[in-house]
Amino acid sequence: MMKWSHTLIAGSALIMLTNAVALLGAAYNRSDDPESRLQLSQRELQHDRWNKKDNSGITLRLDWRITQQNGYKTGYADKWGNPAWLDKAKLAELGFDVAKLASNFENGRHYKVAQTRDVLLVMELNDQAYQQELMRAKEFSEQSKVLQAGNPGSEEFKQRAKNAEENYQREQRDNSRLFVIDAGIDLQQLRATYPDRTRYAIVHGLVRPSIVREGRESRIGGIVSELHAEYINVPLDYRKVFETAAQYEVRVAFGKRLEPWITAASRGVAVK
Amino acid sequence: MNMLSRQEAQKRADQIHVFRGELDRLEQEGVIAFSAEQRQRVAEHHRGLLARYSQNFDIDRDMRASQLSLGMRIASLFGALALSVSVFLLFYQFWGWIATITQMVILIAAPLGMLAITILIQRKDSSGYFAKLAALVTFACFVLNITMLGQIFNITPSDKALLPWAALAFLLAYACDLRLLLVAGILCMVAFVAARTGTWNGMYWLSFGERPENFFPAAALLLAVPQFIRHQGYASFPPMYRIFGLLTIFLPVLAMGNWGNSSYLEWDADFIEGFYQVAGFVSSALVVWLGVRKQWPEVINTGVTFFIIFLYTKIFDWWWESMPKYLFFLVLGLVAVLFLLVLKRLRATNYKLFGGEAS
Repeated sequence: MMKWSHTLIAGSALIMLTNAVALLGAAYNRSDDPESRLQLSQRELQHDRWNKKDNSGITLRLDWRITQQNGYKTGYADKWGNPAWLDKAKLAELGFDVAKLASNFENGRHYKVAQTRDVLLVMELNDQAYQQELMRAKEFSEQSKVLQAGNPGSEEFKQRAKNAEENYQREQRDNSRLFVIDAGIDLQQLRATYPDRTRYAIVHGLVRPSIVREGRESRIGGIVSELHAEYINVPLDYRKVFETAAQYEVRVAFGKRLEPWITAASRGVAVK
Repeated sequence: MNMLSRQEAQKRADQIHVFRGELDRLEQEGVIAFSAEQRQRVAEHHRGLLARYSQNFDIDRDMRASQLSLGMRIASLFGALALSVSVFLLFYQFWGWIATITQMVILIAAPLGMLAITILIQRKDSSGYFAKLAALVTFACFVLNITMLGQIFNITPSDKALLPWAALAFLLAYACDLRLLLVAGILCMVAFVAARTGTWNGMYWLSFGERPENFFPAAALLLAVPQFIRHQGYASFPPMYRIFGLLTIFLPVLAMGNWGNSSYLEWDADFIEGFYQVAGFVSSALVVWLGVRKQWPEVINTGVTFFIIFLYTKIFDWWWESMPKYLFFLVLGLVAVLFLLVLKRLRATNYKLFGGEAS
């Protein structure tokens, strides 16, 4: 048996060292100026209310979206699906062996599980991608109204027009304005392409190749399967903001390791 | 005198009881007759040994004590698991109301405090049950420590957290002679090695399960440990390394025998499945042979179990759809009977077929 003193010393050293490494890493992430800083609202940061009875902590979840590959038809453009920008060339740039992927596809190995890769993802707040979705929702609403006018008395077209209009209202008022618009492996290169640090945040995430079907055609594309910075803990200082308020503004900073933290939060009023 | 573990002391005590019972029977049957002096000397020697073992290791001195010990072990296990879960839930219940600095202090102090308590209990408790319970709670506190730090500071999940968890589990396992913590350490280490193997092959670390071959380096490591590291005083540990080493081989082989698309190999999926099915049969048979040769019962049992699983899986593939269900299960039963006959034959011929030593 080991001597008790050896066990105590070794165990204590292990615990202290591990905590030191973890805390130093967190301190390094928050040192100097943040890599980016976004002003988000309840539209982009959802209050994660899972298991509140046994968990007193408050966690916010980033509600991010992608512009859909096949164009906006109905409903809400969420995070699932194949973004237009994640094509074969982009996958090659991210380090995937696209020749092997193509070979698997051509040889009928559709179900060969493609590996995910850890890459850098660019999130855009309230800019082109969101304006594009807003425009699509508006166009779809107008088209639905035209169809309703052309089919008077039809309950089906009336309901469709109503749903489309509600969807447009939600897009203006409630839906997240945060979109993942690009990916890469070089942080400096991405930041050079998207220099505005108050509109574009770069985070770690996962991309997986997949087969994209467009009618009878199929091609290689991909999906953004996860963002590592998706959940953000709310410190005690800001707890009151999220306990009762339905509307809030939060300033989220992303540090040197691209890990987020809350720097300011208020109810319903823009944070200075 | 060599350092003994509790298990070795208990084993010796059990042998003494068996010896006493057999000696009495031999004397009654007139096979042997000890003189009074010889009997007294043996009895005094055994009494001294049992008293020393009882004081140092709190062993079971008779069958009733042994049955109570089993109950204590079960109670200790459930108590440790329940306390570990309660540690997590207790923190989750209140952490939202605590400032960050205080959270950090509690999280770091908890495993340090429990480690000190474990050492203290171990010095005072000869049975080891309470020390083992405290050791498990210490490990749970350390897992909570790192997990919650990650959550508080939104740290990106990393496979590197598995290393200190494995290290503390191994440290406490060897300090308290606790197989459950050894298993926890083994599982953390297997996960870390598999995740690293996956990362070196270009995949995200958490996706290591998507390619079962990632587990093979960890299996090799586990099987090498008892071969190259002496475990004097830890007689029950080498079998655990061997069992988990074999599980870390056979389970991936079983998975790829049924799901060829999960393999790294760039062959046809059906061919990969056939390859791993054959590999499963051959390797499990070889493992049984090795277990017989080296007199490792845990290796024999693991090999036999997986040979049967591979066989049943193949029978399912061949006949589940085409055969009436009663006939299918009849075939499974007959296969089990066949196995019993084969193993009985092996035992009867003293394993000479596999080159084992005659008993």
